[in-house]
Parts: sequence; structure tokens; C-alpha cells
Amino acid sequence: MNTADLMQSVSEKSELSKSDTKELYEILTDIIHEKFSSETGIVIPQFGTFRIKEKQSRKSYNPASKEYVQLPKKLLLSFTPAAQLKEDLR
Amino acid sequence: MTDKITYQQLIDEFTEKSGRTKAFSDRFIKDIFTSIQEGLRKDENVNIKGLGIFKLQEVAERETLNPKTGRSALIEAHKKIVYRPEKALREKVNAKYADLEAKVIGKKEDIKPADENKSDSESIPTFPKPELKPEPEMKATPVNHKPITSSITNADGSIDIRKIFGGDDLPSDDDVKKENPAFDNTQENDDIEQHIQHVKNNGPQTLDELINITKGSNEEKPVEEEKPGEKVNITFEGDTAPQVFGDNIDEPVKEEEPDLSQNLPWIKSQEEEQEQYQEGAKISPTFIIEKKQRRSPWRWLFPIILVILILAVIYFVPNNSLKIEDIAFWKNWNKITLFERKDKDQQSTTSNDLDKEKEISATLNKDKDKESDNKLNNIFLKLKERGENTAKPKDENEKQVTNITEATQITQAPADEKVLIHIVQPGNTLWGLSDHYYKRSSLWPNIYRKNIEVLPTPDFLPLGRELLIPELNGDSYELSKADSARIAQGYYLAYTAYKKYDEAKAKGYLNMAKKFGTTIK
Repeated sequence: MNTADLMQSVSEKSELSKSDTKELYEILTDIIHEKFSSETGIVIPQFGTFRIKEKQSRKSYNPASKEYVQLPKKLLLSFTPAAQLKEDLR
Repeated sequence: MTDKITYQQLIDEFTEKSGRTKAFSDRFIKDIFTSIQEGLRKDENVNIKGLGIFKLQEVAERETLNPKTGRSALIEAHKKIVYRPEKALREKVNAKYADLEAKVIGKKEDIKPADENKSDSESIPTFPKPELKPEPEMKATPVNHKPITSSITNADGSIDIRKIFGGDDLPSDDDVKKENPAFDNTQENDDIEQHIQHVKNNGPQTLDELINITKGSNEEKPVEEEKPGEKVNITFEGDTAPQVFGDNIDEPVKEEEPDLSQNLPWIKSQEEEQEQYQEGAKISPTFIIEKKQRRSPWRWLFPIILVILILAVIYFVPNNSLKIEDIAFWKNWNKITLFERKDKDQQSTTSNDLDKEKEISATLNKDKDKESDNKLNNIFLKLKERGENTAKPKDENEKQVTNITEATQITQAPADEKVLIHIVQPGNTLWGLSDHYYKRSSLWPNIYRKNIEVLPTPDFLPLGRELLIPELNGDSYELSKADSARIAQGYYLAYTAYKKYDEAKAKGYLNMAKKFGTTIK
């Protein structure tokens, strides 16, 4: 399923035109991105939780160059599906 | 990060930006995520711009242990949801630490050895090596035996025995001669003659005197053996009173008289010997020899009687009741002969040589038979042709026997077959018999076939057994169909008999059976 398929199914369900749904969807993604970039997660009921985690810096080894590299700490977006969704797609 | 907004806050924000109602925004957002869920269920892969990729990944089944209960549980294979945000989103999320870059700490060669050395030296405690105590050396115990050196010869070159055997303990020749003048060879003969004269003149002339003397001599021997200082009580049976020997006894010991028993052979008698045996006295060598000679005839008595008995049993038991092939050692003997023949066969290179060998042996038998032909003519009883002699009951029995064998073994053969009776004599073989009767030794299976119930093997003919010898219808070198069929049958029987012992020979017989069988067709 790609974006076009998603727009199709959403427009059918919410009885909106494709352009409207696309517009509304972009608004939603903007909000979500804004939240994520400000290090806040989002809880969506019956679907799951988007959460931002900080990954500590670590040492790694590059076997190709035979170099030891100190990787910096990172912020990662993680998604944990809801129990209902898990059970549904199991 | 622990911060997160609730769904309600999201709806509020969305309504505010989109300008729609709350209910619509709630429904719209729910529609989006439910459609994502449907897409996942449908395609197992949802790739949306703005969020990223949702995927379903298959997980194989595995066992887990419940740490509280300790029980193992099986988790079935299932699918799990994996989310990977798109690259733009990832960068936005990580905007805070985007400036940080990976730093190269160093190369492997620079870092690793130092670390490893440190860790090794710290982590692994070094135990002090246990010092091996040197084992105590085996002290050579001094041995008293004297080494055998090359100096075993005397000054004059003769080998000195005393030097070899540690000769200091041994007395020298001169000492021996001093102690025992009997060892002096020069005076020995003279002494003996003098001694004999002395005994003849002064010694005992009657038997009783001699007995007393010998008793005395035997009794006095223990005195010499006893060591000084020990008291020993010795009692004697017989006429002499018990005496006590020892240091403290002042009584004079009886005068020693020479032991004359060896030198007076003319006085000895059986009574004396018997008395000596009964008293358990020491026996002189001459007595032992005489005793052996006296025993010798009795020793052979029992074996001779046994042999005579066995011979008598074998001779007098009637031949019919004693079946030789039933005795075990006969069977063994048969096997032994078979093995010997096997060796012979191995020497001959091809199976065709077997036939030649047989013919050679047949000729040899022929020569033997010629020598004993006159005897055989008396013994071979050419009794009858079947059709002629019907009156005798014995013949009728034979008829029945032949009929049975015919019926069981050969169906093709005609019922009427002329039969001779031959009593087995020593030296008879099937080869010889077939050579004698048929003038062709290779037809022996015909006889074997006829007497298969009587003969255990074709190699061995029991003595005194009556063999039925079927006569050939035609000439022995121009066989009729029936005869060749019978001979083929006989060869086949020989093949079955030899199969266990000698495969090469058995195969040869099988080939012969085929050869005779093909001449029929």
C-alpha cells in the first residue's frame, strides 16, 4: 500500500474528495512532524504509540577501514503497536 | 523521551489547523489509521509519505521459560509490526544531535593490543607455577653376587669352577680328600677289595645278623643330622627300645658297624626287602631297580585286557546291528578325508583336470582290482535278473526297495531295471565298482544314485554293506537315453552331497550332470 492507495481508502471512508483528503492528511503529517521534532510522542488509540527515544553514544568498529569509531548519541522515533493491533495482525 | 501528547490534544490541534469540527477530525484521523491497518492486513507492507514504512515481519516459533514458574512455554509463529520512519522524519527527529559526528578513535593495531594487555593482565590471575619436586633417586642397593669376570681360569689355563660360582665357600679338592678319603680315586679300589674281604671274614653270615645291622645303621643316621643343643625324642617301632639322643646323655652310642647292605647282594632275600619297605627305611638304589622290574608286567595288564575286550566287542557284534556311519568319529573321519581332497583340488588348476584325475585314480583302482580279481569273483554275487527270480522272498524285498528308489528319485526311468548285489570289501570305491561292472569308471553316479539311502557320502563305502548295482540297458560307451538320464541324476545327487564341503568339486559334478543330461536331448 502506498500513499495513493491510502488516500483512496480514506476518501471512500470519510466521503471526501481525494484532494480534500490529501490536503487534510498533509496538515496532519505537519502536526505530527512538528511534535516529533519537538521530542514529543503521540498516542493513537487502538493503533499504537509513537515515541522518541534517545540512543546513547557508543563505540563501533568498521571492519572495512579497520577503524574504531565513536558514534554520537541519537534521537530515534519508535513505534510500539497497540495490543489490539498486534492481536489483529498476528 | 517521556513526553507525549494524548489523542485528544492531537485532535484539538488538528481541528484548529484544518478549520473542521472535532468530530470530523476525530473520524478523519481514525479513518487514516484504520486504513493503514487494513493495508497492513492486505499487503503486509504500507509505505506512506509523511510517516514511513509499516511492515509485517514473520517470527518463527520459539520456546520461552517463565522465570517465575520455571515452566517452558511455546510461542507460536506469528507476525510482528515493524515501523521505520522515512528519512526526512528521522532527520527531523534527530535535529537536536544532528551536528554530532562520528569520531574515529583509532585503528585496530593502535588500540587493541594495549586494551587486551591490560584486560588480560587484570582479569586472569596468574597462579604461581607449582614447583615439581624432584623425585627421590633410587638408591642402588648393594647386591652381593660376585660379577663374572674373565678371570675364571687358573694360572695353568684350566677353568676354575670355584671362581664362577663364588667358589670361596666350596671346599678345595684337597680338603675334600682329607674329609672323605673315599673321594681319593687311587686308594678306592684297594679299599673296596679290603672291605669285601673284611666283610666276608668278619661280617654277618646269617640273615638275622644282617637285619640287625641294617636296622642299626638306619637308626643311627639321625644322630648325625641333629644339631648340638637340641633335644629330640625319637621313638621306634619294633624290637629295639626307645632311645633318647642329645648332648646330655652319657650313655655310649652303639658301635658303628659299616653299612654292608650294598656290598652283600648275595644275602638279600624277599623277606628282607619287604621288611625294609614296611619300616619305611631308606632304600638303596639296587632295591628300587628290582622293585621296578618286578612291577613292569602288571602295569601292562589292564590296558591289554581293555584292548582285548574292545576287539572282542567289535569282532563278535553282528555287522547289521552296528551301523558304522552312526558312530561319530567315522563322520569326522569322512570330513578329514574330504579336506585332504580339497587340498588336492586346489593344486589342480582347472575344473577340467578333475575328470582327468578321476580317470587316473580309476586306472589305479583297476590295477588293484586285477590283483584281487580272483577273490572278488568269489565274493561278487551276480544273483539274478529281476523277472526270472520271483520265487525267493528276499528278492521280492529287494524289488520293493528298488521300486521305491526308482519312484522317488527318477520319474523318467523305466520301472524294470536289472540289479546286481555287491557286498562291500576293503579297498572298494564307487569308481572301482563302476569300472569293474560297467568298464567305465565315470558312470559311478549310477551306483551312488541307486544306493543313496545307504551311503552317507560317495567317498566312503561301509564295509559289508550290500550295494545294489543297476545294469545298463545299452553299451557303457553308447548310453541309452534312460541310462544317461539316471547318470545325470546321480551326478546331481553327488553335487548336492559335495556342496557343503567342496564347492569346486560340486560344480564339476554339476557340469557332468549337465553334460549327461544334454545327451538325452
